[in-house]
Amino acid sequence: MRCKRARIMISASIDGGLSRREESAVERHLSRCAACAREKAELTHLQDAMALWADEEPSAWLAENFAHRMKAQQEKRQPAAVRRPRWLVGTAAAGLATALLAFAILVTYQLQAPPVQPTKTTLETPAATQPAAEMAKPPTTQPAVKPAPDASPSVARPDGDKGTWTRLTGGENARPRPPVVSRPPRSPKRGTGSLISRGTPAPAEAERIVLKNIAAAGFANERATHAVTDELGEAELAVNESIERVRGTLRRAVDVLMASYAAPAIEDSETTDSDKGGTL
Amino acid sequence: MMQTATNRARETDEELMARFQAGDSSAMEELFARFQKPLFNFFFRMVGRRETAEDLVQETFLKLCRFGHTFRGSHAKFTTWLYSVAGNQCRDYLRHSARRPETSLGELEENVQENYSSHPDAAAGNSPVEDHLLRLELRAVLQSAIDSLPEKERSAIVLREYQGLEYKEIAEVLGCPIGSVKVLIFRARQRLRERLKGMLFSA
Repeated sequence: MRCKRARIMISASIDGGLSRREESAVERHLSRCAACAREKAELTHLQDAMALWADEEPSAWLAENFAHRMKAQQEKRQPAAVRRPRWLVGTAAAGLATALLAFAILVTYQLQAPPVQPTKTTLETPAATQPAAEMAKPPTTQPAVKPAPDASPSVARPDGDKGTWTRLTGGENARPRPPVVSRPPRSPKRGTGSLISRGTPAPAEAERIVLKNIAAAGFANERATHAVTDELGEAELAVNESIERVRGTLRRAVDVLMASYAAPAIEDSETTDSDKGGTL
Repeated sequence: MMQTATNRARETDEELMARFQAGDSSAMEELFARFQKPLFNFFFRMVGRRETAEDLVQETFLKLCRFGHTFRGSHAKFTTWLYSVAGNQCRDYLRHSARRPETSLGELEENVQENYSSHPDAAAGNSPVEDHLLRLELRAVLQSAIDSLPEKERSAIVLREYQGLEYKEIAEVLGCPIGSVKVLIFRARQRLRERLKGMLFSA
């Protein structure tokens, strides 16, 4: 091994940065080369001298200052859309209260209202009162080409590309009216919408309304919570910024004070010399 | 979940980073408390100014907060990542700021020799006060000598001698092969030995 390469490896060996094989090779070289052995001793001595430079302590306020700056940085990175105006807080709270009240009223109403039973009278629809014989009658139809009178209720039809509507009350464009067929009464088993009076919704419908109101109340609550949290965050950010400004001012004041103590006093002889200089 | 002081003491640096990535800011404060002193001393030895070193410490950790989501504890050590970011901060500062004037090493050496040899206790043996003064002088001399090194050699020798990083870690921080790290440290030692020859070694 040549001395040039050996000295690089000697430097690494005092850091423990060599493999066993490399260490053995360096040891063999050192046993034969006094100059490199002297090099190793001097590098070790240098390392000991460098170790005398002990670590210093940073300022005591460093950790606290970092905590404030980190918080300020995290809050600054929040998107602007999250910040809401103050008036929304009250609106959200009012909306939440209204939703909760409506929910409470609905639940109370549902609990107090008796279960609705289908009655006979509801089955007696005008169609059902027609005698059964009429059902056997052939449907009365109007002639297909007979135009309907103008005063009668008419049906409008769009005029294709014209963008207007044409009343189908007369003329050759009038469509024949469909035949009037008396419809049999609806079976009470088919659906319940026409058999129960309109004032009270069906249980399934009521449940759907309740669930919808719960979701609306929850959503309003969440929005209100977000709005309040954002307001608190804004206030805290403002306080932190004020603290930072005060710290900066204090630090600058201390620097100025220290500089004024360190500045040498100006002697009176200097001003005297400068006066004399003008007269020469 | 609230972490007790005992639990936090057992957490590794990588575990603390994982906690920070999950949204716990106190984990980053814990990391700051652990590394503020070694990082401060790294910057102080590199730039030579106390206030600048403290600013650089904060800037480094704020950068860790900003880019904390990029750290992968399963692939890298936290210390390696920390000193990589710190090294970049230091490099940027040194490039953008004016180089501070070097102290005349000859003057410093003369001061040390005069203080040592002319002191009445010098023949009898060093007193603690004199040891302290000598250490301060030595520190100033070392500061000047390290400051005279090229930037990469300076980083390598400071990371090795004072931050205790292994060659492999220094290679990752500096972004160069391990063989290059060996050469950088070797050259830095050669230069330092040359500059401090009069102080440390007898003729």
